[in-house]
This record gives sequence, C-alpha cells and structure tokens, in this order.
Amino acid sequence: MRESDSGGGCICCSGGMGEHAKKEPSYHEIRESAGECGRLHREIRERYGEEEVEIIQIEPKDYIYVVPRVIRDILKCRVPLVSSIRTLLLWYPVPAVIVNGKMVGSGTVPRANDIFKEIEGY
Amino acid sequence: MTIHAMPLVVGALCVMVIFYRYYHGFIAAKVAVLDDSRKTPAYTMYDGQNYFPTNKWVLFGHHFAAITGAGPLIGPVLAAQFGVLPGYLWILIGAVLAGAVHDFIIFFASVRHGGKSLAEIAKTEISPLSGIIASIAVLFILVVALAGLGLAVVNALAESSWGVFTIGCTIPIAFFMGLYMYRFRKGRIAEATVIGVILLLLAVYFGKDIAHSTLAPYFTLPKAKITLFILIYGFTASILPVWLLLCPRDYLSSFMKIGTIIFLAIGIIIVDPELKMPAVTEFIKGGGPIIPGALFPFAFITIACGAISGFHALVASGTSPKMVSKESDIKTIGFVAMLIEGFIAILALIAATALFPGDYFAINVPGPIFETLGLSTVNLDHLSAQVGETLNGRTGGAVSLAVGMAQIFTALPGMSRLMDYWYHFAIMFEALFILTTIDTGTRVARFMIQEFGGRFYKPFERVDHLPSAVISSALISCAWGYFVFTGSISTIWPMFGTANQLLAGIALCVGTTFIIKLGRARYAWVTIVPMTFVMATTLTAAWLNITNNFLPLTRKEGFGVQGYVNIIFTAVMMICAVIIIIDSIRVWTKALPAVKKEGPLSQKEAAND
Repeated sequence: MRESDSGGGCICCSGGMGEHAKKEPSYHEIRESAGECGRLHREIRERYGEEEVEIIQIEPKDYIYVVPRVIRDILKCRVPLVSSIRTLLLWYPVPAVIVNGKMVGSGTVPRANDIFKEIEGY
Repeated sequence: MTIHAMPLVVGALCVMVIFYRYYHGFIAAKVAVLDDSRKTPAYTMYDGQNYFPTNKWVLFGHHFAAITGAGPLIGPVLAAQFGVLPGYLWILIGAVLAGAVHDFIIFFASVRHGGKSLAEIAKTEISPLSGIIASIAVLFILVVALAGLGLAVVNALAESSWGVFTIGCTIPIAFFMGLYMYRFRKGRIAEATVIGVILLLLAVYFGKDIAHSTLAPYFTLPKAKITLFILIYGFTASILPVWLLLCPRDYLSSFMKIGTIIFLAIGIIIVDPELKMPAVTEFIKGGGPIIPGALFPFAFITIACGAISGFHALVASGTSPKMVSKESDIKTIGFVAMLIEGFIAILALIAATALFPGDYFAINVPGPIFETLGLSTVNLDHLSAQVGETLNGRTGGAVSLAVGMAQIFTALPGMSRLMDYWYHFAIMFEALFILTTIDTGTRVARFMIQEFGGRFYKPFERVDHLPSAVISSALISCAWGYFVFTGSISTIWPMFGTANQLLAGIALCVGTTFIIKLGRARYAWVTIVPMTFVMATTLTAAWLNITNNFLPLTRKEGFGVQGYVNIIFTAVMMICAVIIIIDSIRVWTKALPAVKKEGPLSQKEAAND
C-alpha cells in the first residue's frame, strides 16, 4: 500500500493532475516512497515471475477494498493470532507491505529479502 | 399524473444493464476487438511505479473516483427547468450511446498508444497541429469550468454565515491533515482522514451556533467578497506544495463523495419521492429563466458530465491506461464507470425535481425575474425556516440540489428534525468537491501556461521557479475569477457546457481516427454518430449563445467588455473544434485508401512510438 505520485485532486471537470503531476516538485516525498515500492515490486517479479505470486499495489483511497482482503488472507493463510492482531492494527500507515495476511513493513518499505523469507516460509 | 422516483431509477438501471451487455459488448468485441493476449502498457512499460498491472476492481475504483465530481450534480439540476423528461432521457441516452463509448474508446486508444495522453494521441493519430489545438482547448475549457463551478459555490455561500463558517473550516482542516499525515505522523493517512471527517462534521454541527452568535456578521459575506476569497484560495492553493492542501483535500473529498452518493441512492430508494416538476415545462421552446434558450440545443450542453464529458478523456488517457492489466478490463472500467456517473446525474435530477416547480424556480432565479414568471412558491417559506436561511434567488444549482438532497434525507426515519443540518452538510459536500476542483484545475492550468511561456522564455517553464509560478497562477486565477465576478449562471454554465462537450467532441474525433486507422472503418459510426450529435448541438448552442446572448450584452451599457470577452472565449473554443474536425476529415480521407491497401495504420504507428 502506497500513495500515488501521479494522481491527486482527480475530480471531474478539472481532469485531475494526470501527466502534469510529473512536473510537480512537491510530490517528491510521495514519489520517493512510490519509487521504493516500485523497486520492491520489480524485485519480487524478477524472482517469482508473473504467475507464482499475486502483487496488489494499492493507494490509501482503497481502504474499503483492502480491509476485507486482509481479513480474508488472515483467515485463508491461518496467520497466528499475535501476527493477525499486529496486521489488523498496523496495516494502515503508508507505505505498508502485507504478505499472506502478515505485516512485513508498516510506515516503511521493507527489504526484498524480508518479503522473500515471508513468501518462502509460507 | 404523478411521477415517482423509483420507476425512473429502476428503468435507468435496466437500460444501462441491457446496453452494457449488448451494445457495449458489441463495441468491445467487434470495434475494439479487445485482445487479452496483447500485453498492456502495465507490462510493456512496466516500472512498478507508474506502470504496473492492477486488479480490475481496484483500478475501477480509481477511475470512477477520478471521473466523478461536481459536474454531474449541478448540470441536471439546472436542466430541470425543461422538466423531468428531457434531462432524464438525455442523461440515459447520452451516457449509454455517447459518454460510455467516448470514455471506452479513449481509454482503449491510450492503452494501444502506451498510456499516452489525449493531446499526444491527437498528435500521433491526426497531426501535430491537432495536438496543439487539443492542448489550447483544454486550457480554455479549464478556465470556463473553474468559473462555472466557482460561481455555484459563491451563490451557495453568499449571505450564509453557517455555510461560510463550515466551508471556511475545510481549509484549516485540510492544512492540519496535511501536516499530520506528512509531518507529525508520517504515513498515517487513515488516521488523518478519520480526524478530518470528524472535524468536518463538527464544522457543520457548530455552524448553526456560529450563525446564531455574535460572530455571525463576520461570516455573513456578500457575493463579491466570497468571490475574492475563492480567487485568493485558488491562487494560493496552486502554489502551495501538494502535500499541504491538495492531497489531504483529495482524500477527504474522495471518501465524502462515495459515502454521500451511496447514502443519497439509498435515501431515494427508501423514500421514493414524488417528482413535483412536470415531465416537460413551457420553457422547452425557449425563454427559460435559468438557461437562456430552447431545449435544443441548450439541454444538451447544460447536462454535460452526466451524459458525456470531455474531461473524462483526460482521465481515460491519464493514469488508468498505465495500470490496466488486460484489455478486457477496459470494458468494465471504461463503460461501467461512466454508466454509474450517469446514474448519479439521474439521482441529482430526482433530488431537484422533487421540489415544487415554484420553489425550484424561486431558488434558481433572481427575485425580480421570478416575479415575471407567474409562478408561486408552495413550500419555500417552510423550507427556508427549516434550513434557517433565505432560499429565494440562490442561483447556481448548488442550493436547490442541497435542498432537494436534504428533503430526501429528512424523509428517512428519525431524521425529520435535521433539515438544517442535512442542508448544510449537502452544501459542504458540494463545496468540498468544487474547491478541490479549483485547487487542482488552477494548478494544472498554471502548468500549461508555464509550458507555453517556456517557448518564449526558458526559465518560465520551470515549475519550481517561483516568479513564473506566481505570474501564471495569477493569470489563470484572474481569468476564471473575471467570469465569476462579471457573469451569472445563465452566461457561464452554457459556456462551461459548450467547452466540456466540445472537448468530448474532439476526443470522439480522435477516437474515430483511431478506429479508421485500425482498419475498422465500417464500425466508425459508433463514434461518428455521437460525435456528430455532440458537435452539432454544441456548435449550435455556442453560435446561439454568441448571437442571442453575448452580442446583445455588448450593446448593454456597462456590459460591453464582458460581452466581447464571452464572445472571444466561445469563438476560440468553436474554432479549436472546427480545426480538429477539418484536420481529422483530411486524415480520414487519406487513411481510408491506405488502410485498404496496407492494413491497419494505428497499430504500426503505436508500435513505433
């Protein structure tokens, strides 16, 4: 979960920032974080390919989508109680990374190795 | 004969489902020939940051949030002057045959062009001249759109201490949220949003106390002062860092938007209000007090975003095509998001037409003009007493929509005493959207001016160059501010509708060129028919606006400059559209024999990009 560096204020009749967001220097913090998430996304894809893992990269505006999804993953992957509580309490700071219902990074982008360990340990 | 809301709602849903299943299915299968074996830009240009495959429903949410705003809410309310039926039919027919097709084709064209923007596609598919003209048209359209929406807020807040207090509070609340989520507790966006929503609701609640306190005179402002404040807001917001105002506002308005629209839909289904407005009014032949002109062509430009909106082309060629994971997803996202926007426009029309005609016109028409209509109010005094404000002569559409929405909400069980709160909540909800639009729109227009200025003086295009940012923001704010200061909803809204529909016409023109170059000219009618209709109605409306409304204005003492400025703006937009049409026809006549001989051209060009 991470913020988008190319959206912002997308409202009908203004068309949103769209391509113009690229020119906006004050997005730099959001862009840095998005860039970090992008790097992680690429590393996971390089290691596992397109078929083996499903990566869903979403924005904080998608909280409505992500909450049931996290709960479903927790139940499906039988995440231990303490880890489940940790995930449910810490899922919301961005950037955040959740693997199979387990929180791996909250408020920071974790190293790719931490993600691999989590995926391979499942 | 009484009309109730439910048959209209159910009928609209049925029509939309049938058209989606058959007509849109046909376009996806035969015209676009969506092919899931083709890699989308999310794969071919994959970087994990801007280009990455995204779950269909997540992307649907993004796309829908991006295309839905204040436009589809205000337009149908103003078009209610023609009665329930014209607006209802145009929204329904426009959304399924024109709006959804427009959004889908541009989305599809952008995907096939590696996620490029509308202006870039126009440049590639038609000519560099059309690319430049499309950019100029967008700039002009932005200015008029900001003026139209700005005026709706100004009229809603004039002489309303409760409204001014509540909307005024949204600015420090957004600042606080920005500092909270990006400085004090970095990344805690959910926390900041929850706090922001609670503070907003408190601002609505305590607004009543302010209105009845000794502070009320400080918040009771005339139109001129509110216009000035909104102008200063737009100017400042376009220079401030995005994290401080734009981003927090975006989160606030996104959640408010979805929540309120769902609540309104549920409210209408439960309450099933009786629509007091007749099916058609006497104003279909012209002489209407809100929109000056007959049903044809003015109803078609008054309801812009709910039926077809050129601004959607900017979103459909923005972030969405970079993230779509397979071509078949374009069908759901492109068509359905627009159909839901049309459905929202129908909800707004229902909310407005649930008012008695006398009450509706008394709100939307200045007092002296209302007296000449021979109508009398039915419930307006009671409504005014309930909301605690004078509602007469509050033109612009925002107030009648808020009254209509509040009337539906208070008809829900246990809500009967909350009319004043619901009314101010609805005003806050509309203004929140519109201020976000002003914030973003002024900034985008500023970038476009800087880009243009950079051709003559290089440092001017640097967005971090403060003097350039200040000059271009001031220019753009003064441009839309001028229209708000001098115009009325009767002059600005038709200009806004004209601008928005012309952009849609331009996008359909680009879409048609793309279809022809794909080698599917026999199906080009799917875009040519709506394009012809949209261009014909809009150019007619623009011409009538110039000859019947603006030229007489130039002869009025003290309105000469305003009349000429309106004429120039409208004429420039018309010229932009006509140039693109002529340029496109030139390309079509060249492309048709070439396609027959050599096969599809678009894919070759797209592949070379």
